[in-house]
Amino acid sequence: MKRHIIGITVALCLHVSLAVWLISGVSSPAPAPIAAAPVSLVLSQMRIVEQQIEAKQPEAEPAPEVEEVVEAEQPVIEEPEPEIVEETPKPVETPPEPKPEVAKVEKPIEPKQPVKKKPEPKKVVEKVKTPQPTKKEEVAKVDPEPNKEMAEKPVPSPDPRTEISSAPAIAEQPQLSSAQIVNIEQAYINALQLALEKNKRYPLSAKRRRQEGTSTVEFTITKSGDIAEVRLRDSSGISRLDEAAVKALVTLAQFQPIPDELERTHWKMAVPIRFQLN
Amino acid sequence: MEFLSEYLDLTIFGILGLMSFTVVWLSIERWLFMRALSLPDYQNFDRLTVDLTKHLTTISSIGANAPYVGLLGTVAGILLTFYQIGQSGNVEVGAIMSGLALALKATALGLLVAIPTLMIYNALTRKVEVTQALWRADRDTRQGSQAHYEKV
Repeated sequence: MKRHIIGITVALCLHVSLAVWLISGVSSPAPAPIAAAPVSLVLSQMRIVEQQIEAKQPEAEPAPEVEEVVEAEQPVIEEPEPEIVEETPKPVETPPEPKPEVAKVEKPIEPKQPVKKKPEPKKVVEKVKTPQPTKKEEVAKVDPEPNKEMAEKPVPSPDPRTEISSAPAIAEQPQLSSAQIVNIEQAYINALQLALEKNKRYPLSAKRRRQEGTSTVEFTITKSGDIAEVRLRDSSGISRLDEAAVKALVTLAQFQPIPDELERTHWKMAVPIRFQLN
Repeated sequence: MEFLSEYLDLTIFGILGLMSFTVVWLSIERWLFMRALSLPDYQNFDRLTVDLTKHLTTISSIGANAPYVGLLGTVAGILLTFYQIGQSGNVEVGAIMSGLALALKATALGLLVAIPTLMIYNALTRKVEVTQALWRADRDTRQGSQAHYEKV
């Protein structure tokens, strides 16, 4: 009898470990190379989606929107103030040359914003807006010292802007703190995307049936990198793929913390996860 | 067809996994038994044979049948692939190939189970024969020595 118990135990250990190794090791790298290529494409989708969510929220849940706005705004307001205090002596000497440029650059932008921000809840307008930040970034790159000029000249203007604009705080961030933050954001999103690609598993039954699709999953990353509130946003039409997409995020569970430069306490995102067979 | 396509892999791999589990379990049990066996305990040759060959039939059956189970999985997989292609109407080389590749997995696993099982079975059979021969030899020497003792 003792011999049987030993035999069963050893066989069980062997097979369970083999099964675990096969399930975790062999099946996950298989889909990874397939999806490695379209990362950049997905990236651009992701940013748009992210802003769509924030535009959507006021319609559905007005209460959390206020919280988010407060949290997102704080860094925005805090930033210009110290700059004003510290850098006011410097710009007084330098301004004459860049002034005309600044006036040209900023005036067209400022009137646009309030006009466009009034019909906030509409998605279409939000979509139209998304190219804007990139334009601003280009402008920021062209000007050598955008921050100083901003702080120096339109001292009263940034405050009303932030008060008026509630949702597009994110759109403003790159404008205020230059293209570097955009790069950091991109790198972070890129890394997240890669981690997800590694983590996602193509369901075997869906593979056999050659089912493909893209399901969009919504979630929140906290400052420490915890992934919470995972839920499906847009179904791919195939429940297995939806489940696998949600599972990819749930199993990821922990990602690297949000970089300090982004000054976010949490980050709500929606990621399209694509299941595609070769 | 729905049910088959959903659970085919699971069923075949489940059966093969169970087979390989049984083989590992029984061969470890046999190995421990052979190691702890003491020949003088057995007075009767047939009782020794019964104890020695216990579970060997199971191992041999699994070794012989594992490739067939794998083959069955492959055949069913190919059948499903063709059926699905027939249903969809358009013939894609990629779809056929990936379907067949997935189906062949079952045969590979069947062989993977069968080969070590047959090796273990052969080793155990050899061990049984050796043990039987040793028992007979012991008996002969005992009888021989007794005969010698009686003569003296």
